Amino acid sequence: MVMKNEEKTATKLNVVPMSKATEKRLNKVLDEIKGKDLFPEKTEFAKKTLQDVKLPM
Amino acid sequence: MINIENYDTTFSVNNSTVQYLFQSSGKEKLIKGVQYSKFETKNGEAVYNLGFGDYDFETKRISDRKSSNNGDARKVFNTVLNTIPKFLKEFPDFPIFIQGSDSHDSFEDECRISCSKNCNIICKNKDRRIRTYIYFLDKKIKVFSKDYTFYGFDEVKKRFVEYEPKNKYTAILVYKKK
Repeated sequence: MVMKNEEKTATKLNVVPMSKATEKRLNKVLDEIKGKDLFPEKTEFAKKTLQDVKLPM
Repeated sequence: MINIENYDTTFSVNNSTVQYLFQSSGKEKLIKGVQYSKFETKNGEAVYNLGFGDYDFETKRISDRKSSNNGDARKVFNTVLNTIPKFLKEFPDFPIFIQGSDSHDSFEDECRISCSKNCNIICKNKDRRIRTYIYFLDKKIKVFSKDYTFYGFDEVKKRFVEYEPKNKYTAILVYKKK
């Protein structure tokens, strides 16, 4: 029973771990892009699509 | 929770944007970014728009125009989908809007200028991104539906309808169940 639970947990948390070097590389990029709207055209497109649409909830 | 491999992410929250980054380790090591950008509809309803693309070290921007074909598409898409529960855990009161950048009206004309596929009447690249989201979402819909409500945008009716797997939609809206 214990083994079964452990197996289930391991399957659920199937995340490829990040090395320290990768984390450092990603954090450097995060600093460069932080707060910038990276997809302004996409946001405008979304606004246009939803301009006359009522959201369902 | 998705039960297949996905990449670990880092994230930052700044004003109206939430950004997740991860490294795709396929044929090459590429940095990919997922961004949720907040905006308001004309009715004053706040929505977060999902954007996803590759980080370009030269321009220091993320582009959603190219397909990197890095050989790990399943893992990458599951990573992108896995940011949805992460995001909604932090911002449970806002829906997420998902729409491909290849779904806009002028895409087909732009695509035909440089495309080598020689499509006849229907452009095979149009709506390709949302089709990919739908493909991956359909596979996990039972798991996701326990905690989230999905709506698909019906292009003919010009409104959201309850999400049904295998249907055609041009956009998706996701809410966290309360």
